[in-house]
Amino acid sequence: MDLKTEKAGNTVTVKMGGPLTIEHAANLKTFMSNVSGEAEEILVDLDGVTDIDLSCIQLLCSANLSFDKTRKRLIRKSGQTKVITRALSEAGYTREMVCQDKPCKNCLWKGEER
Amino acid sequence: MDVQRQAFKEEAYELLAELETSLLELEETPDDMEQIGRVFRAMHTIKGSGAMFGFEDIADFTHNVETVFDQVRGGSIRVTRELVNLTLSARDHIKDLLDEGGGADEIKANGIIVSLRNLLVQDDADEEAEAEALPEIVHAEPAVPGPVVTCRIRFRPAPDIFASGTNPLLLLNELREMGECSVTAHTEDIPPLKDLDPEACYIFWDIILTTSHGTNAIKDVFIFVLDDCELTIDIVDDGERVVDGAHPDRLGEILVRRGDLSDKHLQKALESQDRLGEILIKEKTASRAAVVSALAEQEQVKKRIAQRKETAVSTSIRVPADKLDQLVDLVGELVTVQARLSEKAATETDADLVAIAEEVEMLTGGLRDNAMSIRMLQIGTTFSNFKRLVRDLSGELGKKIELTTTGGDTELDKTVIERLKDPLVHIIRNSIDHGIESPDVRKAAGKPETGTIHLKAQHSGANVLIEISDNGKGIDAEVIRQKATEKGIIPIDADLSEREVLNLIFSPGFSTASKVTDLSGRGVGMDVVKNSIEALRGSIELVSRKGEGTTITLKLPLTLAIIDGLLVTIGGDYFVLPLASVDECVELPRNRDEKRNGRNILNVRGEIVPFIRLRKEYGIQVDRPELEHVVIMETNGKRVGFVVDHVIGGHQTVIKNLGSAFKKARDISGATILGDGTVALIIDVNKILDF
Repeated sequence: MDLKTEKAGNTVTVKMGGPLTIEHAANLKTFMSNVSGEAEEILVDLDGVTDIDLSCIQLLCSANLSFDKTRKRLIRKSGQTKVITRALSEAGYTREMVCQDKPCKNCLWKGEER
Repeated sequence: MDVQRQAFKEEAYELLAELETSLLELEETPDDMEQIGRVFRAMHTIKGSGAMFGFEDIADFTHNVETVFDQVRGGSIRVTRELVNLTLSARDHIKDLLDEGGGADEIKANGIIVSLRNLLVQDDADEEAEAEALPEIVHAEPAVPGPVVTCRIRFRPAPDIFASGTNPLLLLNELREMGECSVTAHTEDIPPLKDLDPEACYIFWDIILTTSHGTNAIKDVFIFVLDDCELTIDIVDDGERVVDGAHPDRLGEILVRRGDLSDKHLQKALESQDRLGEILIKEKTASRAAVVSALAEQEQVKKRIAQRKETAVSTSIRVPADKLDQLVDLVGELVTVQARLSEKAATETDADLVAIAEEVEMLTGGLRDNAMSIRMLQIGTTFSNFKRLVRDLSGELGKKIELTTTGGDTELDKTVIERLKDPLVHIIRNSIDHGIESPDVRKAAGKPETGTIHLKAQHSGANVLIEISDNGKGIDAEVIRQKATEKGIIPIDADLSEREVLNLIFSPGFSTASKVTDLSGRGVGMDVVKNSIEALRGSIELVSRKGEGTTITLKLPLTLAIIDGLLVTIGGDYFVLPLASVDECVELPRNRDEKRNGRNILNVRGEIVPFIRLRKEYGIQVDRPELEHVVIMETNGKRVGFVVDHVIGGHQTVIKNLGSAFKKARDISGATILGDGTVALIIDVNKILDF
């Protein structure tokens, strides 16, 4: 797993690369917890991700939920690679299934992207 | 070949036609899941039935393509032009296998499979990982049909499922392979980051699966996690729900039965007039995932009920075409005999005989209509075949052409449709090759880069009009005139209208193409087209505007076997006019006619109607009676009268071809035999007006 951050104004861009799989989940959690303090807005770039499993999908959902609670924004970079699309589709993340009934009103996967 | 194998071949040809149409549609709307499903199902059926009836080569090949399309269906692969090209090639290969019974090109087949595999590799970011997941060239198992049921499965894995090395997504994928499957993830249990155990699973799923595998097979998927998960499997549609009046459960009923909603909350929500799902989500009495999953269940069951209804409604049997032809021939003979009976009865005083003759006449009419309707086919299927033609040929020529169609549900006699295909192919090829310009030329002319060829079918009385129009460069009448002069088709000083000049393209050996291409321009085209259409008792019209495009209209009879005619006599000879074009009949007394000073026009309630004397047309020397009749017919939007001696009345006309001795009788389209054995000639109204 490869994680890089770039800060520009109030936005931190997090570039993720390599496999986002369960063996990296703990590190990813720590990373996301830390980065939340760095800016009001975090832009996640998943273009370099070569594999993502359920543990990391739900971890990013969790991060989104946490950010939302603290009135911060987690936004996904526009365009989704096939790796991500396939993983979400296999996990049963349907187009209609936005987490609007949860505190995170803006679903990371289906909501705003930039 | 046994009957079942023959039946499989017939069904497979139909499926291949459907597959081709779906693939072409899919190319235009690559995200259309319904089309993707259609392609998959066509492949799946060909494979399953092929294996069942001993077409192992077809089953094996199709299985590999089907496997690839399953991944498309699962969203793993996107639909691209390349994928459509390969699948179309696969479709052609399956057709070759059907045609040639196993003698088809094996190298080509392997090439298609390899290309599909390469496509899969390209499609994935991780080539190595993908290569492992690639479909092996495997031998398909014969399909095992079983009762198809729709199940609702709730799978809530233990939080520590990851620790045991189990990937829940693989279990879900296994379910997907068992049938139509809708998976909805419940994410509501995912906690905020601070409370999250990164190695625990918080998601659970609702799965709606329509499958012919039993619940035991479903349980087998979860066999290694069964003790550590919450798994419920409920059959929500057993495939036997009564067809009439059956409806899927309502959303509220589904949620209550699942335990996702209490009765109390349901009643409260129903009191509001809003959409139930939205209310429940808003009031937080049911999660969005629960509602989405319940809607998926409702949709899937609804689809199954509709499919069963369709199956029940469209119960049909296959009948070989030659048996239908035989039936129509026999009905034709019966109609002739019935006419004889009616005529005989009319001259007898026996009331019983008259009553029987009338009854036979009524029944014969019904039988005739019924037999003819069995042979009627929608022209839309033929239209669909041309989509592929336009796609492939425009690609070869580097042109952008879209084929649009209207009136595909217009019905025509099977024989007419079969014999219409070649002329249509030629006309469309001409449009592609000579009509539509290349994109840069179109752009320079201020036209959209993509040209359009439009096929339109519509009824017009007893005829069907088929219009083939393009928005290409049109036909330059001056160029046609020059070419016709060069080729000696017309003299240099010929005085021709623009319409006549344009019609020269139907002359034998005429071609304006500056070079011969594979598509057209060999000078053996439009005259053959015209002859083919005329052989179908049809006519062809061409209208073109330079720079704007060309429209060719084919006018064809609905059927080639029996028509409703109006029987008339001239000088003791019998003639038949097509009844569908007859507007009215009026009298023409000789004394009034003589006042016209030879002008062949008639005043019908203030409308001037020109008329033609058929007696003169056919050179009948017998004196005309004191009172003649004018049969006013509508043709090409104009009313024209035909003067005859007597109008006998309606006549079911069984069309018989005239022999080659009458080849030059261009304004006679055939003959029919009357009840007393007399021959009546069928007048080709359009041809008379042409001369």
